[in-house]
Amino acid sequence: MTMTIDEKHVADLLRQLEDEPDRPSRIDLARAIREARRRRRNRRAGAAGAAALGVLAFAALPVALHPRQSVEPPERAVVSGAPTPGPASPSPRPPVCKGEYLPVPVKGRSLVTGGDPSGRWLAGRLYPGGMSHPIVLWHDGKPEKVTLPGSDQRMLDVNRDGLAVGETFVGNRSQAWSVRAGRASRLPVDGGAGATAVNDTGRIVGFRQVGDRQLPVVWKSPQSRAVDLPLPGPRWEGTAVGIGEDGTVVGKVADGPSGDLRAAIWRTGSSRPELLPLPSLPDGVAFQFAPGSLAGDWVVGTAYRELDPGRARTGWQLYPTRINIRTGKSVVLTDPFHVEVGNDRGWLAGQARGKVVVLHTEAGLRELPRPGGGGAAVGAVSSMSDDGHVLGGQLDLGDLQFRAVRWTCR
Amino acid sequence: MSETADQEYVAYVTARLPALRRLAYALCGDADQADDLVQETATRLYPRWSRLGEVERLDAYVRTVLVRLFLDSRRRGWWRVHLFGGPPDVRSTEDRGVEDRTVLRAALDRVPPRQRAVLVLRFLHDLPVEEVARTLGCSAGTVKSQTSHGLAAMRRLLGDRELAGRIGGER
Repeated sequence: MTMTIDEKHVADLLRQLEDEPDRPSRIDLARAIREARRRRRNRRAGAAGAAALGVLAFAALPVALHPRQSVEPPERAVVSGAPTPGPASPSPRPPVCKGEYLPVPVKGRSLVTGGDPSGRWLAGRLYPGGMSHPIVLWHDGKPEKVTLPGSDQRMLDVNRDGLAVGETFVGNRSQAWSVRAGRASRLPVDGGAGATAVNDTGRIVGFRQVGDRQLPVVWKSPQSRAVDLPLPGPRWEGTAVGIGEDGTVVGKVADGPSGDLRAAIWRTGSSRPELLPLPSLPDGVAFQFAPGSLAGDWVVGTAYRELDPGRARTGWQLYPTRINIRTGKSVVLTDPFHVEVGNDRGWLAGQARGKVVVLHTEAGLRELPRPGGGGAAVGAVSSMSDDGHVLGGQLDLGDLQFRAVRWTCR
Repeated sequence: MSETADQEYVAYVTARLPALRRLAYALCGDADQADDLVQETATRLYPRWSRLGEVERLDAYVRTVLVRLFLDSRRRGWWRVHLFGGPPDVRSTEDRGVEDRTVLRAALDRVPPRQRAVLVLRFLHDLPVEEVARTLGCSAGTVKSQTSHGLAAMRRLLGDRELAGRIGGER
């Protein structure tokens, strides 16, 4: 990440805290082993579960929301280069893309944080210095600057009318805001909140903050008060991350702050959320799926698998994944990149080590070009239009410099 | 678990104890809670040990367990319960550096737990954004914004103390 001078200063200060507690350790590994064995015995005996931190016992997990759906085996897309069946009229021809720096009204760093389904609107922010970032909205490439209060402002989504939604950080907490036609207004909600997505009817989703918890919410319009979306159980928390044109909402939720991430779907007319089935992966089933956005009928996100114990390495393998919200079918890519955005045609784009940005289409994986040509570079992507023809992001230029970029693909 | 595996487990955790205590202490700002956190992490690790086998990413795994336990404990209010009693970790000393660290630690303790975890992992443990994202189970973008929020909070908390200049001068 690129840091401002102020950030770097605080980060340097933080490095002072690298000391150990100055009292002798009370940690007792023999006790850890005894306790672990006791818990295992209890679990085998059918006890409710291990006590966390050795003391507190918890209520049983909430009842599962819906019966386990049968999961179709993944349409194993996709060793890079192999033709991939797509949901709509696949063309084996890879798209031809070019990148350009977006013009900015203020000299300095800039980046894109979101875009609309048509590709005509992009939202981003500027870095005139300090932690406060003016918002910029590009319409057909023409920038307009909008100032929000606070710091770390970002607009995460825009609809076809140019209504942008996002958050800023004021005082000690997030505030949800919308911006349209150069005017900013705060979204009505009690307490801290942030907006993550908007559809063409002006419905907005996001989260509200209650202590350390985020709870998913929907605003019927920029003037309406936030309404909580129901969660699967009392401990669940999370945020909405996408909203379809028909009002279907997708959320990233977990059973408690250290619970595994799941995608929840709130369908219009239904009063309960559904948890999408975890995708099948090349070597097992994902233990968590982190949804990032909704593109047509597809939730785009990352599936996680714990690497098989006993192998020479462990940790997690991450798979760019999309899950169909109507059928539950998942399509999992084995290409190593961190997926950020996608579209209804099944295109996915994201970051890969040492690459500008990568785009996966029916024709396989390819790197998007650096604006103006040139050698290796690192970038990021944060929006893709429905047709995949426009992507917004940034290119890191080194020396703490980065610039907003628009890629157009044909 | 076999005796050999037990020995390996003890050897591994013993070797990692200083680093784990530093991480836990940075997260909680309290020596007793830090030791509770490490103790629980070790307890959670044990049943999985024989299955983890020979691992390159074991450190990352253990760190993830610890950080998630920390976040979980904050969420549940568990951190207000002192297992071993005792006053908060206040140290009086002539050493200016220690005093500054105490101020810093108090400021860090007021940053919301998730942001604090991001700051500690990124700046005290020098982990890349992607590694922090995997540890916390969120996107790299979230790590970046949490970093930004956390640093902004630290700046506000430390702003009028002129602490920065003092520490900076002594480095």
